[in-house]
Amino acid sequence: MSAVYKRELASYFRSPVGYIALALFSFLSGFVFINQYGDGSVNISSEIMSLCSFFVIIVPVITMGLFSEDKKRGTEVLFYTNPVSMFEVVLGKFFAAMTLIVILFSNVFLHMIITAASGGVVNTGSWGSVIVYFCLAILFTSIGILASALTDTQIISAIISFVIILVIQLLQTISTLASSALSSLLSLSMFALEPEKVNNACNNVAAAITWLSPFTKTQDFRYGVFSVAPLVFCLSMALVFLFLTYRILEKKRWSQN
Amino acid sequence: MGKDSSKNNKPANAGIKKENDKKEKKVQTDVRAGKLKLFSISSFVILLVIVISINIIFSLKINNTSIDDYLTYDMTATGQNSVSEVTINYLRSLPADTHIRIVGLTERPTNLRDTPYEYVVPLLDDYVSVSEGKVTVEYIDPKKYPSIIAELDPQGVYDLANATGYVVSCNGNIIQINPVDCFTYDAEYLQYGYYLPTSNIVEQKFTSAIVNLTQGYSYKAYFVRGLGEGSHEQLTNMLASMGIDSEDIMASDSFTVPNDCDLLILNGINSDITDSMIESIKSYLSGGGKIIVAVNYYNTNVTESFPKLNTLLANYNISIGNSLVVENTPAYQINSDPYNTLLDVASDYVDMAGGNTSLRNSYARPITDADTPYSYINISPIVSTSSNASIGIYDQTTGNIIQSAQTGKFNIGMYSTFTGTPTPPDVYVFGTLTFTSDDYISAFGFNDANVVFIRNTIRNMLAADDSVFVEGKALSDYSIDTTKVNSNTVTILTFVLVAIIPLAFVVAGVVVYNKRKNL
Repeated sequence: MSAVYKRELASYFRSPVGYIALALFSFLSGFVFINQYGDGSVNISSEIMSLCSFFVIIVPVITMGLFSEDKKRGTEVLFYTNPVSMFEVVLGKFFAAMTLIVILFSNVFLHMIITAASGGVVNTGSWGSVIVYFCLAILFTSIGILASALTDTQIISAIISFVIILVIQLLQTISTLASSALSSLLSLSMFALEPEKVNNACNNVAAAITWLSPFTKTQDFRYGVFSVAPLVFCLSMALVFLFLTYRILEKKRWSQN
Repeated sequence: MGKDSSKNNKPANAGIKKENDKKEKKVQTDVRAGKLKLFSISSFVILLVIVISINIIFSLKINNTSIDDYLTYDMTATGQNSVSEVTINYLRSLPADTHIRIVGLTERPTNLRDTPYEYVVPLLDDYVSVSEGKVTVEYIDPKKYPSIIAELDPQGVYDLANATGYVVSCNGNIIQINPVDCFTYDAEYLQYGYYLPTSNIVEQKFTSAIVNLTQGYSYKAYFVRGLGEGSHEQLTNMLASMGIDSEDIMASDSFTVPNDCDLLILNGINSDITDSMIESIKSYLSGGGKIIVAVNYYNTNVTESFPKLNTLLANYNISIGNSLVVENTPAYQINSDPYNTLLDVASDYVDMAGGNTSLRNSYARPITDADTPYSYINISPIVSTSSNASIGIYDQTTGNIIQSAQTGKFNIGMYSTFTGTPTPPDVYVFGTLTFTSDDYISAFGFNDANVVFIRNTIRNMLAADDSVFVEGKALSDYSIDTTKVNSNTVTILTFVLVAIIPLAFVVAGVVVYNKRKNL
């Protein structure tokens, strides 16, 4: 696994991908930070939560080539012929991507140091936001890896992960829209339902959709509220996506297509 | 021929055998692939089911409490997002069948950042988790579900259709709470129309509402309005937290103190009372009534000498002076300001001031005895200046304070009651607003010594129960130190963080690309 990890991490810096990601992230985080700093009040939690909305751009850039590039070059055969478990290959690539995200995040650590040196506050809410950021990063990176394993074209892989992450980011809005649409539908006279039942049904649908949203689950961290369940959700779902990636890659061993 | 034919049959048999072997091998491969496919799909499904089950178990609510509620920790220094022991103990003392319904008249806010809901939504979630099923929180938008208005307020007493914020409902009664009212604001910024929150009183508001809905209000206070006074929202909050309902009563020529009045408050009046008020309030006090009067010497009221109010107060041997108290002792001045000063607390009142021997004062009038020669009147000073204070008068032509040469000790707060009567009045008169004004309470919060003092005063007057009083929680101040940061620092940092660092990475990327593109 460590060989795969080292190779993938080094490959980020042997191609422009790692540098583009670093440039993009340092610009975005610097812009968000300096906006607050210029106003004389810096809330690191707010900065980190703003940066979470950029996962939709950063993660596809980082993960798009992880498997699709190997497939395109035909070097994936090495993974099948070497005495190494395919799950270890998946984990090696996953940890390499996560390492790059940690490197990107060093910008925020720099901002924390500047804030503290300027007499600002870096409190428990800030560290809570850091934890949330990495949990969400783990989840979205695992989605990106899955997207990369599905295709041999980097662009398609990026588009797939972009769409999935975007949908996840919009789950709260989707739940509101779904609830409104269901409310309008069930309120039609042909169903003859009581308003309370319609209300309950809509609320349940909205709650079910919102339940899937990691952003909603983790939003209290930035206020200094630490909760175990959202972390379990992010990490366990990441495990599901990584396992699915592993199964998809393993399929090549036995599939006759 | 037969030999030949047997010779010719050999390769044919071999071909059939080969084909049979192939078929057998393919069948074996198909079986193996099918098994692996089944294993692959089933292992993924099993993992997915396990993961979803674990997450459902975490969020599954039994009696409105989930495992997640027990594994949630408020790590803020001031407990901004968790209810205090005071509230928890009160909720636990309620009967098991109590149902307090908190309804947010909106969709559940999702983007809490920099909104008042930032401190409300997580805290209300904590109410649910600690209440053992007695408190529920729902978010229902009346625009989508109009039936909720009739459900909460069947009599249509409240204008919930246009209301925002929350409704706390219990036993058929409701109390409205607007999130904007759940904070104290910096009075200085408020003057310019900016709302700068200084402390969070979300828990105080909701716990007060729960206490008052489950126990009912014990007392009723009336604020006299219409005499140029400022707002009294924070004092109202404080009264509500002590089980004291409050209402406004307008000053007029036909003024009468309502029969259910337990406490009358003239807070920050800037013009004099009416003739009818003198008689009505005197009559009210003769029956054991209680009154708090607070005036200062500032801006619009510097020419007001309150002759009618003084006529009323003379019955209790108290008089409000028409001058400004000037503190000449530097140790008593706050920031070397002779009008914003510290006051000595009379020894009998130190306990009520939470053990503090000095309290804050700002632009005060002197409170003196009125030389009323009745021995049954018992007066006592509450707070006073140093013995080196003087008084001054604002000169409208020059805009200066003309200070008298005579120095001495001036009382800024006095108490009066009667001895030997079955229903003695309680009269508290303050020559400053640093005990009762919204400006002061907002700026210094509910834990300030002056505010603690007035709370204890009211509690003693009415024997009110403030055992479920939740103190305000100071908000985190994210401001950076302006002595360490100037505009040059911001410019340099902007240049470095937004331009230099990203550009450096772009250049590095281009160099790497150029070096490796032909490899």
